[in-house]
Amino acid sequence: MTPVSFLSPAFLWAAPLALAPFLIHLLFLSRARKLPFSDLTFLREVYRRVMPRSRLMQWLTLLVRCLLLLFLILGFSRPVLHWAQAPSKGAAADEGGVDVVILLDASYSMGYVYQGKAKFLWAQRSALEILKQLGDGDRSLVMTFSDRLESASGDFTSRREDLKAFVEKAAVNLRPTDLAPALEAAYSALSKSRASNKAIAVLSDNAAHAFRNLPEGKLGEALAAFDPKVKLAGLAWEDSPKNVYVGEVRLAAADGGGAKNTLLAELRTSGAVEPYAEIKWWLNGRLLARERAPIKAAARNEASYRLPEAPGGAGTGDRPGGERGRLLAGKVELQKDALKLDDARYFAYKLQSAPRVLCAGNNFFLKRAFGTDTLALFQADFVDPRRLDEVDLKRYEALLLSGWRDMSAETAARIKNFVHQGGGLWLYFLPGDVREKDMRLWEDVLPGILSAIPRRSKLSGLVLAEQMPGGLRGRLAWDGFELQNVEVRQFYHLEPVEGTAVWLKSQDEALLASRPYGAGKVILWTSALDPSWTNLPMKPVFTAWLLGGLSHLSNFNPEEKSESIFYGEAFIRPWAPGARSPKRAEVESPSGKRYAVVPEGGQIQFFQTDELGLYRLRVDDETSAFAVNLNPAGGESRLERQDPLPWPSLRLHMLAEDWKAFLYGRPLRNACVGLVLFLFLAEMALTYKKS
Amino acid sequence: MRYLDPESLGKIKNLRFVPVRGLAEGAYSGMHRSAYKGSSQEFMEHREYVPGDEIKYIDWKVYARKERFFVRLYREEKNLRSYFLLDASGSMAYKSPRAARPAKFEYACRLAMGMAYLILRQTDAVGLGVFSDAPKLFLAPDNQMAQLERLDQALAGVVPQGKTDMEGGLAYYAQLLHRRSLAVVFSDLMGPAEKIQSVIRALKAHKHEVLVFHVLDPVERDFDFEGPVLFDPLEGGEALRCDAHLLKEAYRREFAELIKYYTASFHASEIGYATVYTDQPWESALKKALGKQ
Repeated sequence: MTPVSFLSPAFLWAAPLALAPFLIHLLFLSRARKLPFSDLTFLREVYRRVMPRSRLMQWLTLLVRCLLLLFLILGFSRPVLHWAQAPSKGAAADEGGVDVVILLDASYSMGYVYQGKAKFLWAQRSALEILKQLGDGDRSLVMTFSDRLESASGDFTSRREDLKAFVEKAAVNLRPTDLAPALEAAYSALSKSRASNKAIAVLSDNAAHAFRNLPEGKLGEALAAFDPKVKLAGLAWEDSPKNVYVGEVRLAAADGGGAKNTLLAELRTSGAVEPYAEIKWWLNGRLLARERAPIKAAARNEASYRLPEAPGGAGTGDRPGGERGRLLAGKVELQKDALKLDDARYFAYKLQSAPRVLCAGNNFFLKRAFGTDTLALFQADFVDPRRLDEVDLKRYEALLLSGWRDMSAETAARIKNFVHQGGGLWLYFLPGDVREKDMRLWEDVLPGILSAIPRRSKLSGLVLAEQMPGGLRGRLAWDGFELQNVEVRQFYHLEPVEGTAVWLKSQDEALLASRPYGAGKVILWTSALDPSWTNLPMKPVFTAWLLGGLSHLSNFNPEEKSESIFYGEAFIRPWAPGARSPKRAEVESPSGKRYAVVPEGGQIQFFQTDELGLYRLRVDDETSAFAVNLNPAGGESRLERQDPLPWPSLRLHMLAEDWKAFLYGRPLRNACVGLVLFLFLAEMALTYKKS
Repeated sequence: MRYLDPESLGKIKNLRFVPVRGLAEGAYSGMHRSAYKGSSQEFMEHREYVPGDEIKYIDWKVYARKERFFVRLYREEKNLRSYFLLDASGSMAYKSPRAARPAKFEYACRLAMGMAYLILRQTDAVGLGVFSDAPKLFLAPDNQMAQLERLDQALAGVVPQGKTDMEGGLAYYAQLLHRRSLAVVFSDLMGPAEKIQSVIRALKAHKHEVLVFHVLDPVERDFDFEGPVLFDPLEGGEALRCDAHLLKEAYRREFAELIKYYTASFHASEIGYATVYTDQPWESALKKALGKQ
C-alpha cells in the first residue's frame, strides 16, 4: 500500500491541468505579435539588463501557478496519509493488524426506502464493501442486530467468504432496534482483541429510537468509556425521513354510549408528512371503505369508521363463536409510504352476543328500561309467570322473577335447576304478593331469611355495601348516581345467610343481596319495583342497577376483548376453570401455514407468531382469530434522526474511500487547502506591481 | 504648403524667436548683434582719428576736452543664419500603430516649418540639412519669404529611411555651416546617447548656437505593450522577441533616465534642448520650446 492514497482519485485525471500556466506561456510566446518599433538600440540595452531577473521571476511565477493548480486538484482528490497500514498478506491481526466489528441493523425501520432501495440493502452493500476493503490479514466480526443479536462466527475471523455469505443472507426482521446491547457485544469482542487498529462500523439508519437505552446527551462519553481506542463510524443518510403509520385500533361507541359500533384508528406521524393519507378499512377480508384522512404532523390524528348494522351487515361477519359471540377481524391500511411495514394494523375483537333475559311478570318499568340504549345489549323476553312451564329456560342467561304466588313446586324446581346449572335468577316482589308457603318454596335459594310480612318504614338513600364485588362496583359506577335520593317505603327484612353478599343497604337494612347457587347466581331485591313501595324505578340509577345485576347474573362483560398480540409474543388462550378441555386446536397463519397446537395446562399456547396479520384459531369446532402486529413500544416507526451522532459518518456513495480514510489514514485535504492559500498569496506577491 | 497651413500660422503669428546668446555673423545687416564695427545705433568705442576717416564720425565733444580728434565707432548689426538639421532615418518614420498621430518625421517637418516662418519673418536666413546615415539634402540659407516655399517642397520630397548616423550627418553639415550660425537639430536621438551628445556638442564647439528638438512618439516613452511581442526595427536589423510585460517597468524607468541625461548634459553645454511628443499639437510644443529660450 502506498503511503498516500486518494479518496476521490477521479480528480487526479485533472492533474495535467496543473501544467496549463506553463503551456499557455509557451503558446503565447510562440504566437508573439509582430509590431514595428522605431529603434531597438535602447530597447535591446534594457532587455539585456533587465531580462535575466525578470525571466527568473517569470519562471518562479509560473512554477507557483502550476503548484497552486496541482495542490488544488490534490485537495479535490482528498489525499490520505496512511499512518496505520493493513498488515501484509498472511500476517495475523494479533501482530498489529485490524479488527473490525460490523453491526448491521436488521430492525424493521431499515425497510425504509431510500433512493429506490430499502436502507437495509444499502447497509448490506456497505457491509460487503467494508469487508472487501479489509486486508488479507484483517479480521472482522459481523453481527446483525435489532433487539436481538446474531453473529456470523461468534468471534473474529479472516474468512471473508463466510462473512459475505452471512451478510448476503441477512434480512430485515420485524423487531425494534436497540443499539446498546449490540455496542456492548462489539466492545466486548474487541476487548479481547490484541489488534493495534480496532473499529466498529454501525450500519444503521441512525434513528433516535435505537439510542433509547444509551445515556441521553452523553453518548460520546458513554462510548469512550467502553474503550476510547476503538474507532466508531456510521452511515450518512442525506434524507429527512417521514412516516405515517397506524397506531392503536379500538372499538368504540359512536355516540359515547350504547353499542360499540365504530372502529377508531390512531394515525401517528414522524417527520414532515403529507396533509392527507388514504386509509382503507378491511373487515373479514373485504374492503369496506376507502377515504382520505387529514393528517397533521406532530398531532394526535384519528380516523373512524362506523360498522354496518348487525345482523346481516358486514359488521356482523361470520359467527365463529356461534350464538355466544361474534368476531370483528380485519385491518386498517394506509397508502404505502417509504416504510411499508407499519402501514397496516390488524385487529381482532371477540364480541359477546347479547344475553337473553326472561322477565316473568309484566312490569312497566322493566319494559321501559329494556327499551333504553344502556340495556339494548340484552334481549329481554316477557312472559306471564303462570306460563313459565312452557318456556325453555336454557335459551336464557337470566330470569327476573316477581310472580311467586301459587307457583307450583315443579316450576320452582325447574327454575332452581336452571340456576344450579349456571343460570341467573333475580327475585323481587309484587306488592302483597308473597305468602309464607311461597317463601318456604324458595328458602334454599334465597340469600337470607325474609320476614313474613313487609315492613312499612321509610328508608331514605341507598348505600353501596362493602360486600359488593369490586369489579362490578368500578364497572357500573352506581355511586355516580344520586343514590341518596332513592326511597324505599316497604320492604321485607332480610337476615343474610353465610355466603350472601349484600350490595345495597339503607339504614342497616339489606335491600339487594346476592349469593351463588350451584353454578349460577341469585339476586334478591327485598322490595318491589312499584312506586307504592319504592321510587327506584323512576330514578336514573335504575337502568344502571339493572345492568349491573344482569351482567353479574349472565356473566356478561360489555367490554369487547381485543385478541391482538405483538410480533414475537406467544398467543395464549386459557379456558374457564371447570370447562371442558378442547380436544384439538389448529392455527392458520396469514400466509396459510397450518400449525397443530396441543392444548395443555388449561390453555392453548402458540409461539410461531413470525408474520404480521390475522391468524385463524380453530378449537374443536369453534373458530376465532387473533391479530399479530408490530410492537410500537420501541418507537421503531418514529424515524427522527439521532442528533448529534456520536461517530463520524461514511458516505454511501463514497463508502470505500471514506472507510479507508477512517480506518487507516489522516486526511491531507486541509494541508492542501493551506498550501493553495499560501501559493495564492505568493503568486499575488510575485505579480504585485508598485504603482 | 504641405507642412504649414494658414490655421497653424495664425496660432504662431504672435511668437518671436530670439535664440541668440552669442554674436550673429550674417551676410546682411540685421537685428542681431555682431562682432564687427559698422553702422548702427549701438555705440561701441572711440578711436583716434586717422586720415581717411569720415569727418562725420569725429566726436567734437571729445575734441573740446582733449583738443585731439577722436572718431566714434558703432557695433555693426548682422542678420542670423539658421540651419535646420533634420534626422530622416527610418526610426523617424515611426508612429504609434494604435493612435492617429503623425509620424515623428512629419511632426519634425511641421515644427521646422513653423520655426522657419518665425525666423524668416524677422529677415533672418534659414537653411536646411537632411540626413540619415549620410547627408541627404542641403538647402542654402536665404532670408526671403520664398525660402519657406522652397523648404516645404524640399521636405515634401524626403522619405525617412535608413539608419541613423548622427556623427556622419552632423559632422558633414558642421563643415558647411557659416560661423556663428544657429543649428536646430530635429531628431529622435536614437542611438548611443554619449555619442550623440558628443556630436551635438561638437556643433557648439564651432561657435554655433545649437537647439535640439528631441522628437518622440508617446509609445516610445510609455512602452504600452503587453504580452509576447516581436519588435521589428524600422531601421532594419534583427527583430527582438520578448515579453513586453516583463520589460515595461524597466523600460519606462530607463527611458526617464535617458531623458534626464540628455537634459542635464545639453544644459551643461548651453545647448537648448526640448523633448516634444507627437501627441501634443506642434504649435504648442514650439511655443513651449521658444518660451524656454
